[in-house]
Amino acid sequence: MRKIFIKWTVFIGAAVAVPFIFEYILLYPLEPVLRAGFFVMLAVSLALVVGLAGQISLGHGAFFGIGAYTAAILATRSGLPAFFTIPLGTLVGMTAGFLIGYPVLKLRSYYLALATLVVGIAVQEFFKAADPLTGGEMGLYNIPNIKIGNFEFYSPLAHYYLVWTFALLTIFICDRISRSSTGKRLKALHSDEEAAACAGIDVFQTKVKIFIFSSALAAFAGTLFAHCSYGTIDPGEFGVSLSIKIITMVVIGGMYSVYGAAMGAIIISLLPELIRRLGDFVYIDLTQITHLNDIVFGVVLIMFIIFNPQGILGKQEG
Amino acid sequence: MIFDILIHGFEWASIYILIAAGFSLIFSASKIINLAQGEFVMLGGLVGFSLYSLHLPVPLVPFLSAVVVAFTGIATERVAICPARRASPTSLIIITIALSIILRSSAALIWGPYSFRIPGFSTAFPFKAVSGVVDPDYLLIIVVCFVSISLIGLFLKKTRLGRSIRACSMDAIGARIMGVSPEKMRALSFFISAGLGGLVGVLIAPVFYASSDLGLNLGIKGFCAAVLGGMGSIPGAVAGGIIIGLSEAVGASFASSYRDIIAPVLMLVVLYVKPKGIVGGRD
Repeated sequence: MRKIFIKWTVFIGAAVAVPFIFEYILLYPLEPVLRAGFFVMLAVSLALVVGLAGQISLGHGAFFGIGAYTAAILATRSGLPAFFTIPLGTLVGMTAGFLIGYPVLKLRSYYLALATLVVGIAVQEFFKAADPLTGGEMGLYNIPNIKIGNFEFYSPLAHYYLVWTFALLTIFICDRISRSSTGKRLKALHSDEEAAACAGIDVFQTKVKIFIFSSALAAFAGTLFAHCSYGTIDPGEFGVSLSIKIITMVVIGGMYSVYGAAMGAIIISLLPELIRRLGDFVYIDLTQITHLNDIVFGVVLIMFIIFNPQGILGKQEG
Repeated sequence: MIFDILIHGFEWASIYILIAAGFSLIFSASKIINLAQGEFVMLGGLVGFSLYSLHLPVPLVPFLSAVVVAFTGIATERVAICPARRASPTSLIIITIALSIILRSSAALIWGPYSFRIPGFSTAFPFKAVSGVVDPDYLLIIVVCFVSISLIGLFLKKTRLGRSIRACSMDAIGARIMGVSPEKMRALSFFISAGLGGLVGVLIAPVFYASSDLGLNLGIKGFCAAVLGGMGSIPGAVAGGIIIGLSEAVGASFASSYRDIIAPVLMLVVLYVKPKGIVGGRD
């Protein structure tokens, strides 16, 4: 109990201190750490499905997109405040998680990977194609900020604290789940589905439940994203590359632990900034920097799978 | 109208068939689903353009480019797949995704964000007679697809190497006992598949242009075709390619903006009803 208390004091302290470090010591915009907050939510929620339950999903970004688009559509077209759009977006993401997870989780191993990958592609293509609803390729704009009373979450700093509050909450909840009886059931079916079924675990139902929960969390992150992205979202943000990025974070951080996934999320989302910093010392053409990022990202991913498949934090709570 | 739909349908079908055949070959030799297959197509087009601008004889360009991409394929297999061969199937899928990201970004670094057009190869080939009716470039794609699929089918059925690849797909350990090295077959399958992809890439460059972001979309379509028909089977690749090509041609004539959803949705339906694909055996 005492250990947990100290651990969380450190986490919260770090989260509170980071903006000041960025503002006064690094003299660097807060944007990347704000984005890292979203990625922490996504990676941690995916770690429940991939790490705990052992079910690969390459389409997690789709639920993030579904949440974001639902919130944005509700906010811009029917003028609902964030107080309603966020729960409704989460609900739609949850429903999508059920509708997609129910058929797809009957598949195993790489068939599951492929099906989820393709679902992710189809969802993004839908965002692009369903113009009257989603704004097509251009996306949606004029999405209002979140307001509580007279206070409007307008500045990056306000966004940062809002997002990281929920990111830490997500880590806490997912950690609790992985230690709960549900978590134990998931670990059991991860290591051997037949044995878990023999021990009286409803394997399929447990998988679907955790998939729905994970989708709902991703959709929730999406609703926050829609309200914290300076009023615009477009379909390019919710594609295959996002899903790949999330699974990379989980793999690199160590998929068996919620903290590992969170760490992977922070490392991967800050990696581009490090490479950009490198540009101060070595000459890098700025128009090429995204490609360079992607190459480094790909190489790191392959090296991790080859040399350190357990991830940075490894299998510490097996 | 119907004629147009058919021609476009079969043109797309030919492209998807060749990409799907690439997926299937690697899958049957090694049970790896190589999601970088589309990037080989992209590389083929760009390498083809560079060779073309060196003023090489035009009929030589597709072959040279296919060879260059084939060697890139075997190199990626040696560097990234080979050291990780003991990883789980899903980790291997993630590796191939990382490979595709690396290939795409490297191509974007080398060739920049431009689209290059190679003037039609068909002028160098004796196709002029029908050029009034059908665009000869389309016809060339369809003919090359037909020829190369037949050759691959023959290769797998009749030659010793082809039979070794099929042996690995049935039983890797059994094949090893009979003196076939699954590692070598995997490398060979990457070589052939990448070469095939490179060939497609050059051939479509006159129609769709060559650019570094071409690979993802084509790769996904070809992959859907492979899964639809049955991963690991050449007849399956043909069936899947034709189904997806024709349905896209029909779909595009009604609602063109939804065209790119057709392949994933078709694939999902088939995956759910019959996970081994249309031609594949029992589940």
